[in-house]
Amino acid sequence: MMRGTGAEYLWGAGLGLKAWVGALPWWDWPLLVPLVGGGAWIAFRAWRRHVVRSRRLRILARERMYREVFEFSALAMAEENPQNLAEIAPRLLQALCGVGGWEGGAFWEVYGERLICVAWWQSASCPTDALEAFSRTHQFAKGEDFAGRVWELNAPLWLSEFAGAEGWEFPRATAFAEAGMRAAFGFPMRSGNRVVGVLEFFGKELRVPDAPMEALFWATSRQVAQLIERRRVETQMRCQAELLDLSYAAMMVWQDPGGISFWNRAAETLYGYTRGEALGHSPEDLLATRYPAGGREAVQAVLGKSGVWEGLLEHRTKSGLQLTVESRMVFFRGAVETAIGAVMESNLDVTEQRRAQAEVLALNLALEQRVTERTADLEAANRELEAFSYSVSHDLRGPLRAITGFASILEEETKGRLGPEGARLLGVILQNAHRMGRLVNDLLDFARLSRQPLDRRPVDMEHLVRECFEDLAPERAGRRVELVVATLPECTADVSLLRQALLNLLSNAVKFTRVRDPGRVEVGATIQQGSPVVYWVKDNGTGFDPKYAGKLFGVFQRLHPGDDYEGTGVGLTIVQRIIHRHGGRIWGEGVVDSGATFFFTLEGNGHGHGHGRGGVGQPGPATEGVRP
Amino acid sequence: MIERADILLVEDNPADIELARHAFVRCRAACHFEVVQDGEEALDFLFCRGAYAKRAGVEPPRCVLLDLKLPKIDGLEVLRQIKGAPLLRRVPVIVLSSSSQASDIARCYDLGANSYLVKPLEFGEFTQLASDVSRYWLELNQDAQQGMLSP
Repeated sequence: MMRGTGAEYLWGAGLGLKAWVGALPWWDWPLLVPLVGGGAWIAFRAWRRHVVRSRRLRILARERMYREVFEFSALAMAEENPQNLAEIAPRLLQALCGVGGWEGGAFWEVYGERLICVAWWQSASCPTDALEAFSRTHQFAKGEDFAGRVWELNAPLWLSEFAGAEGWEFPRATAFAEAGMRAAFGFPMRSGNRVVGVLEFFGKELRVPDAPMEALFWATSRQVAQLIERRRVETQMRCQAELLDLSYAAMMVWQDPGGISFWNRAAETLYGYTRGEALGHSPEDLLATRYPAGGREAVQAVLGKSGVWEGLLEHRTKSGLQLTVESRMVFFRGAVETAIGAVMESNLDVTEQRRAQAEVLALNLALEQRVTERTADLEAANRELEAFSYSVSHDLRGPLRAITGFASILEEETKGRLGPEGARLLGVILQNAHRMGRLVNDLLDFARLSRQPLDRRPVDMEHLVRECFEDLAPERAGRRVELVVATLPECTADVSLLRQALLNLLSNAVKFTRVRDPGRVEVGATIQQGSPVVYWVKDNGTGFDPKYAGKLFGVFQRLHPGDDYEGTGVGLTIVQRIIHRHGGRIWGEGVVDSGATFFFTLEGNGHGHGHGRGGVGQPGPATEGVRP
Repeated sequence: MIERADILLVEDNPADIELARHAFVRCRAACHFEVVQDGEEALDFLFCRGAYAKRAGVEPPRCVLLDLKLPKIDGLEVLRQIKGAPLLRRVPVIVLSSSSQASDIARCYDLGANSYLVKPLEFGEFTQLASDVSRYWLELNQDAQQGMLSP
């Protein structure tokens, strides 16, 4: 709270004027002399003249006082720093109260949608502390309370006896009454036509301002409004400057000639030059700028044409570090055509980023190179494999054919003459030669798998399974083997490869059910939303020990003695290779003497199966037995 | 007088030659069976050159059984030359190879092979093949008659 003390000369002078006016009658004393010495008429005329003159003088004097108050206050305010508005306001209120004969006043400012009391003055004789406290702790919207009413009206407003006045019930009415204040006068402070604040005065009785006083209030309020506006702009500018310093981009403003005129904190940090060191220098000299292709002229041409340039620049810092910055320049033409425009430049350090990018690029190139090399290696390996398989087919099969051929001829031509032991030995030779022949054939099939391109087409699985089973008729000869095929969803696969895989699986099942009568082979599928279809082939054969499940798919791995079950140990490896080439998985589950089940998928986990038909069958791959 | 050959076997493996001879003779005792052991000899025989110059004027064999992997000149080249020669191109060439590679088979047919057989491993199958070949190519199949050989 501020109470007027009259301590300051300037404001004291304004108040002094009022005292001077109060002393006016002293000047009229000489006029009374003729009244003493002359007639009554003359005295009357003189008295009339005196009254008229004194009234005129009083008015004149008052106008002069107003003018002076205004001049003092306005001049003082023009000089004032807008940031000190909070200190100025009480003194202004005091001066205006003095002029208008009010007991006190409040200074309200508009902040957004609210009116806030920022200053208060009251005469020493009339304490209004409670009213002030109330006013300072309440904010009013437009139209609310007396001050808000003035804001809304955007015009002077006065009021007397508001304690009882109808339509004037407002939040502070009681506080006013309790303070003994019965009249108020409010005045908007305008910047343009926008109300930026309200001056509010109150007293024990209404003092309706006369025209000159109103003029004085208008003039003063305009001055204060300007001050408020100036402060707002200054605050905004300071905020913007702070904002520029907050930015991570190095920002500068420069002219040519003229050099740098603005240099933000990020620029100081990035380049190592303080504001003081940078100002006045051309950025080109200071930072040893290196322009992209086309050079400085190209940049200038673009700037001149479109006003904006974006690109990469090379800069050198104070410590000699070479930087790459992503630069953005905006050209501001001067107000006058011939005036030199200014360039606003914002630079982001991308040195590290570019280095990382270059590294990634180099790594990618190296990777590509490696992939190319590996691919070449792989191709070479494939060619070798091809050569090997060809060589196996030709070179191993030739001698084998000779062994079986000549042994057969021998068997035929020596019929009966060889003796039982000789015939048995010949049989062993033939048997082994046949086995080796199968082995060679299987190996060839296996080798061929890797080279054959995958030709995926829709496949009717059910049909294919039955076909394969028919093909195995020779292996089933003389036995009863049942085939149970559930409804199988269609799949997309390479038919020839899939046929090979199914043949091997079914052949296995037929082979290992030899101990059962009837043997039973079931084929089914399990469908789960969101995962690939799992096909399975189940038999009621000899099964296998689960602890060897991991060995099922290895080349030449056999889980049964060769004499018990004919086979080369390549069959399941071929199946696995085929399934893997389709992107699927295969695993087996088995129990000794309780049959085996082989599960497989024909696509990776990422794909849905997309087939509507549901599969039927009981063994579900609840757990993944083996993942080869 | 030199007799026309029924079958010209082009094969370098002595064991295979003997097995083939065995198989063909078993199924057709009167078969005139000639054997050459490399590609060059095969071409000499067919074009009546070098050691076979005195065969000039004799009709070409009724069919050629051709292995692909041969010393000196390989089977594909022999096939190419047979099918490129106006006087020989109508002679049926049956490729008898141990290779079942699709690429080999395709190349042989591209070059004009009349048939492609894979050598069976089993002797029983081999004799069956020999009898099938002689039945088909020597009895059923009509070859181009002498005098019609000129283009």
